[in-house]
Amino acid sequence: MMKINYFGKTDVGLVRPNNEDTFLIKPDMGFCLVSDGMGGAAAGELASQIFTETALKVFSADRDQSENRTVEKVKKAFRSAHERILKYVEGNPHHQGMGCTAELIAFHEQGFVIGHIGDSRIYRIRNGQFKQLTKDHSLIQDQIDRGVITPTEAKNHSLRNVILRAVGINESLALDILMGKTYAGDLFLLCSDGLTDMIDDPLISQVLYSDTALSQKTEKLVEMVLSAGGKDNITVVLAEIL
Amino acid sequence: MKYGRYEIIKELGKGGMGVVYQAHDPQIDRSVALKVLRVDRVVNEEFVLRFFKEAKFIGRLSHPNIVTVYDVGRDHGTIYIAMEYLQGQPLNEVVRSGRLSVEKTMDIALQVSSALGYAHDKGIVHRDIKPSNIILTDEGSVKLTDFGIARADDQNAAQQTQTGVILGTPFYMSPEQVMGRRVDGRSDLFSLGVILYELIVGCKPFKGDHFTAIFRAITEDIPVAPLQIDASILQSISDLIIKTLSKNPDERFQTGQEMSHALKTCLQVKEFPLRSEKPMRSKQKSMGSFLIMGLIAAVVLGGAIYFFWPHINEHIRKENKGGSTVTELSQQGKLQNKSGSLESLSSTRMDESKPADAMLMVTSSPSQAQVYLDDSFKGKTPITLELPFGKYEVRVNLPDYYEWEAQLQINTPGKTPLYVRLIPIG
Repeated sequence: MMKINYFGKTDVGLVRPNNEDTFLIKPDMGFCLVSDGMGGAAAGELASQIFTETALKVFSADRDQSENRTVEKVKKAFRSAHERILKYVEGNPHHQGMGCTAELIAFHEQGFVIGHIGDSRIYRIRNGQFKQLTKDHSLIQDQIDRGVITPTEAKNHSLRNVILRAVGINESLALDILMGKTYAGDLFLLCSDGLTDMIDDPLISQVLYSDTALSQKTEKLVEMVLSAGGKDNITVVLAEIL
Repeated sequence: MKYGRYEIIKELGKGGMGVVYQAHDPQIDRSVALKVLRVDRVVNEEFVLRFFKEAKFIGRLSHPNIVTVYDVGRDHGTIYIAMEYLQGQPLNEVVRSGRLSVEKTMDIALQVSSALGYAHDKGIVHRDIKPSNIILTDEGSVKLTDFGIARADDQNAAQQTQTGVILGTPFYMSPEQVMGRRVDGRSDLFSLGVILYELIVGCKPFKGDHFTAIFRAITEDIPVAPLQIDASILQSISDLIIKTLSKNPDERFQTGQEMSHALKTCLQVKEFPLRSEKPMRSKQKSMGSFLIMGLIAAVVLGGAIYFFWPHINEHIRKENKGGSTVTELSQQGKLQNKSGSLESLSSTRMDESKPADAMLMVTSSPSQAQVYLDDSFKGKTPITLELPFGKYEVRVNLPDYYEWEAQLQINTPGKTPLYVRLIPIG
């Protein structure tokens, strides 16, 4: 099994009273995740926690790290969390709108499997190239894709925080699964929109390119968000293939 | 239970943002509607201050068609607003129990547009005009509620960068709202136009199964003119609605007063066709219609005739007796054209452009169903349509019945009967 270094950090930011983001790193099970809750303070926190707990449960129960099993586990983690949140809202209707975004990357012998829903993101640096692997399930992304608005207009869009897909919201779950090979030196960044809404991609990549330890990179990114105003919760997780 | 000095009497309703109560103000000894925000929606002090500032503006509005805001305050870790207590029903509930007459609908729109004109002059945009925010009081007046409060929420959403999904369906948003652009009073008038369309025509102008589809329709689709859907709608009303729904705000009515004036002019004409007040079916097309479509769609007419053999046979027999049915059908078709105005024009145009090869005689049980050919309204059943050979999409539509539709290939000269038995909903 390949060796992977991980580091993660979450911060409440400077405006919000509580932190609805959650992250989890499980090197022994070969996965890490970031989830951003929504639907009001208590509900948002709970939703991202449910996702995290569910994923942990699924990966703990099955330690087989073959590619097929890994894909199954990723799918199962999302599906089970989705069902759990829906069920919770059914019993607590005043929490309607509760749900979360979720990024989960699991590694197997040959590569990685990503599960993605919402507007949190996963980036990768490979051979000096910084690339966003996931595509936001957001209203503005949809409007940009259809040519209705420009990326510049998107920045001032009054509905820029509206997402089209989330764990625990609609009856059916539409999950993006991305799979690929891993190579030594690959660096994966999982983050909530608290990072990407405040700092542009070139600045993020500069930090990732810097010749520093993962912990320093993570600290630096959070620090940059806070000095930019820290309007949302910020979560950053890095995974580096050795 | 008390919020400030207000004693809660009972809960009136619950929404995503909070709860509305009927409460008593002992100081003035009157009932108030008390809107209490959900505790977890009170994000921070900045939000509270903005909310209060907003409420102050709204409190200055004094118009017979706007619900008066009396007071705002903080208690139990949240914010409340005390408003005029009304006994009545929101418009969405009113239409559920029966479709409103054209005259009544126009009158409601007139009162709302007048209220909007007044508020816009004071620099306040509502931003959330929808049927549930229009109250028809038991005394018969129209009151616009939730003025500006929703705006405070929107600003919160935009500034707090809080991720969220849209709950419910945003049918009444303007294109500029959907595109996240700056909105002004003309956005409210657009939303009022959507309501007007829905009430007059009986269906929404911008449809979709989920909100991205609705958003796409709002920003891209040109709504079908009301007159093309229902020929009994006056041209002036149809034109007014279409103007209100222009994508470009510059092409709409520029002020509430301008729209009120146009509505008044339409009302003065007072030549509304009679319309029975039937329950509204916003979604006539449902599983049933798809089932029927599945059976019939893409069947060429020969097949359709076979499918409806018993009924069609009967008509053919009648025709053989001396063609009386055909004559009757044609006459009735013409009568329909007189009462409406556009479809006679459109069918004439069609006849001019293409020579007629066949006569499609559409009858239905029950009769008086609307017939559309390639999405163009042709009249009500029974009707005879003179058509060139070709492939047509036929839809037959009657309130409270599943819509019937099929593709027909017409390549037989002379009369082609088509009988449609409509299936009631529910």
